[in-house]
Amino acid sequence: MKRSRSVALVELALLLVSVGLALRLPVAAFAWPDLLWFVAGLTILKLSDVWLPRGDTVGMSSALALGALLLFDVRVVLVMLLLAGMLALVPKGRNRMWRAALGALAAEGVSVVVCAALLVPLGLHPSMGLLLRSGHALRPEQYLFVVLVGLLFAGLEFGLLQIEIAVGNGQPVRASLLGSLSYGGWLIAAQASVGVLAALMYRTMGVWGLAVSVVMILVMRQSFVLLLEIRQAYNATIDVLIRAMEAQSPGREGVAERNAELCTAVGRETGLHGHALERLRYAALLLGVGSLETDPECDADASVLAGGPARIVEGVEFLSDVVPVLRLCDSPRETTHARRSDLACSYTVMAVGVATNTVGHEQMLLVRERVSPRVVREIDRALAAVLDSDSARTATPGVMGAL
Amino acid sequence: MDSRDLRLRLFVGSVAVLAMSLLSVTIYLRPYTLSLTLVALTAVAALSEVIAVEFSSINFSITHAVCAATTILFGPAAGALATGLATIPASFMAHERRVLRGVFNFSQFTLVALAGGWAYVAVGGRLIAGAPLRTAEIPGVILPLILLTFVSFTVNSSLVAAVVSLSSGRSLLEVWKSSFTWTIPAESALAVLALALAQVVASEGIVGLGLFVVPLIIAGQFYERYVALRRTYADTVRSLVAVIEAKDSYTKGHSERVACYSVDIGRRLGFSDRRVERIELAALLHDLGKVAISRNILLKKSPLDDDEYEVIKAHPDIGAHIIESVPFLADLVPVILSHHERVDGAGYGSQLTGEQIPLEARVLSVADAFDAMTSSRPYRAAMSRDSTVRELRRNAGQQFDQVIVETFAEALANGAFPEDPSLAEVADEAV
Repeated sequence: MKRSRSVALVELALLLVSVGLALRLPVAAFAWPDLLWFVAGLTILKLSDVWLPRGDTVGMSSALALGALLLFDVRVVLVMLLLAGMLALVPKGRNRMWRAALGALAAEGVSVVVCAALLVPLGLHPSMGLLLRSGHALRPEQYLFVVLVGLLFAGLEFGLLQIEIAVGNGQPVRASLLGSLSYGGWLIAAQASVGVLAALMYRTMGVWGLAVSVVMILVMRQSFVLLLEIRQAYNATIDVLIRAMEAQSPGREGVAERNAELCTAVGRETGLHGHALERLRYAALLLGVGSLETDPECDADASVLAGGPARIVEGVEFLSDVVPVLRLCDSPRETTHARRSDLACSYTVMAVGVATNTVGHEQMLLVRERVSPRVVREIDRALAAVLDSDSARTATPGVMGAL
Repeated sequence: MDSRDLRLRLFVGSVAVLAMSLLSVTIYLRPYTLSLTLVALTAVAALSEVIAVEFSSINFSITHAVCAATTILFGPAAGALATGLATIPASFMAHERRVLRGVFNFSQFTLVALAGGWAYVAVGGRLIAGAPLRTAEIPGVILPLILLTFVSFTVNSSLVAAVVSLSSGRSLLEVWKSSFTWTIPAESALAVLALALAQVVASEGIVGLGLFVVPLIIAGQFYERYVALRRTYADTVRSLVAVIEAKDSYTKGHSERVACYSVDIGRRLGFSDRRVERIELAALLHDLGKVAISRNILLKKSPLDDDEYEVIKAHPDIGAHIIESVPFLADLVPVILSHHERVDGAGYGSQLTGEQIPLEARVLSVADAFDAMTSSRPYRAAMSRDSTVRELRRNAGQQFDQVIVETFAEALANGAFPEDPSLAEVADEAV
């Protein structure tokens, strides 16, 4: 609660500094209808923000905010963002939304003002806005400037929001930022492109250009929602397999999650992020999935096990890079060719298993003897640090990795 | 060459002749000027076709959006030629039937672009190359754009559904409904994207096309992600079926057969496609709870004692518990919970009666019993189909729903299922 309030205060301060800075920038002309149309477009997009499972949001209005920045006076853009943010809160109207709205506004406001301030020394603002509205085609180097500004804007805004989420959730900022970037990189490029296109289309098509831009952003949103659904489906697949394992052996309840939590913390400590960290988490969750092919009460399991301990998940496409790790964990001697990253991943899972008394020490040693001593030392050090600290209890995967 | 293959080749040949004839006439009536922008648009369309996503034997891409933009810029002849040429690299990269595929794709894409292009021009759509639309002109372009999209989608989906139907033997309507209805919202959005692309290229030139690369990729990712989501669902179900079969090797193939029977009964009872899909999934997963039951009980060769029977009776509850947290499977919980209920209330579960039992569960119960009786078990040999149907009829109204038993008996009498159905693909198609 205290951390959340601190983050909100920092956001408010950033916003006020942005407004102060904006007041010092040169003035450009604008028309009231422009402001109204953009507020309408921004409000629609703010109402379409995507809510992540843990309550964070991914804003969809940045591209249009960028378009506005390329067309209008920076103070007008700030007013547009403020009005749209407030209007979008009316139908939502829940306390938690205020926090999210403040975060988004701060990130957008800071990005708008920083980009505008950077443009002044280049002589591109407010003249750039006037140029975009003048009806003349841009010169090639001006296109380049506009695209660079777009990338800077989208990257800054994305980064600020990810930092806010990471700090709010008590996660390491660097790992969360890098992890999120591997998923959100396209989003930054898309926001930049669509923002520039929105400005260009508004120049020639007026409000119709704005409408087309909103539709394009909504298509982008839908694509992002599908990405979230895919990640939720991944988690559901893992979850259902864990439940099946726990139904078969009720004594295992909660073991997979606990091991995965520790593995994720160890992985972070060793510098993993993004897909590598996620792979480690999946391997920890699914360690022992081969037991679904066995029966503790039945003595005729040898023939079934011959099929391979990870056979059940072999056909699952998103787990294709986890299967070699599971094979290594279950039969380290039989698995002849293994990548170094698979070996390190297997050893982390086994070492954590030993620490939680869910894996036999001898089985772990079989994996350990195949891993380089330097990697073993690093993982052991990280595990010791994680076990010593309270952070192990709160460790969660990267902001996007945990979707 | 079998008759199906011959029909397919004849169809592709006819489409090719029609496309080439119409293209020639169009180029004669509405000639176009070759430009760098046109070449660049063709290249982008070709690239998008190369990275198209395949799903249910059909490629999905944003090629038509790029081609619609080409049509809006340069007219039907240029649009059709760009579209047709864009298919060539992807056809070359195909692994099988390159020539047939290449000829069909070129002709089909050309026809789609010609039909859409003529529809656009016929209702007054203006070609905007070099003269972008002004704000006041936009309302006038809405109707032509809608017609272009509608005609292109109709021709495209019909031709592709026809060729898939001819090559797979599935009904044309079934292919169309399963492969194209989900794309309608995306196609509508792509029409807007096409207009935006045409307008930006008209006002900014070839640089405008560069600015569109990322939005086009994002639009293409929509299809890619949708397909990935469906594959994940299918993978989940397949891995759960593997869990069931690993537990009890005697029931290998049982879930798939029950799914096949249930789907047939569902269709005969007039279930919607969505409901048929759900019953198929429920049938595939109905025995998931057996994962918690020892093989000593599942594979026991003598009759079960009371305690063992109590353990067996828990499997619907366990199965439901396992899947209840999975969003895309959660609606199957009532079906799985009730698949051992009897219409007279003497089943196990919540002792529901008659219509209190979900219809899907009553269907599943009949299909499950039929397959169990016609399969060999450790403790008895398989029964014949005739005897099994007699047994089902004898218990209709007590254990089973009478209407469902009669529906299924009629299907069997009409030869709905071969004696040893090969149902390996059922799990794939289920989702």
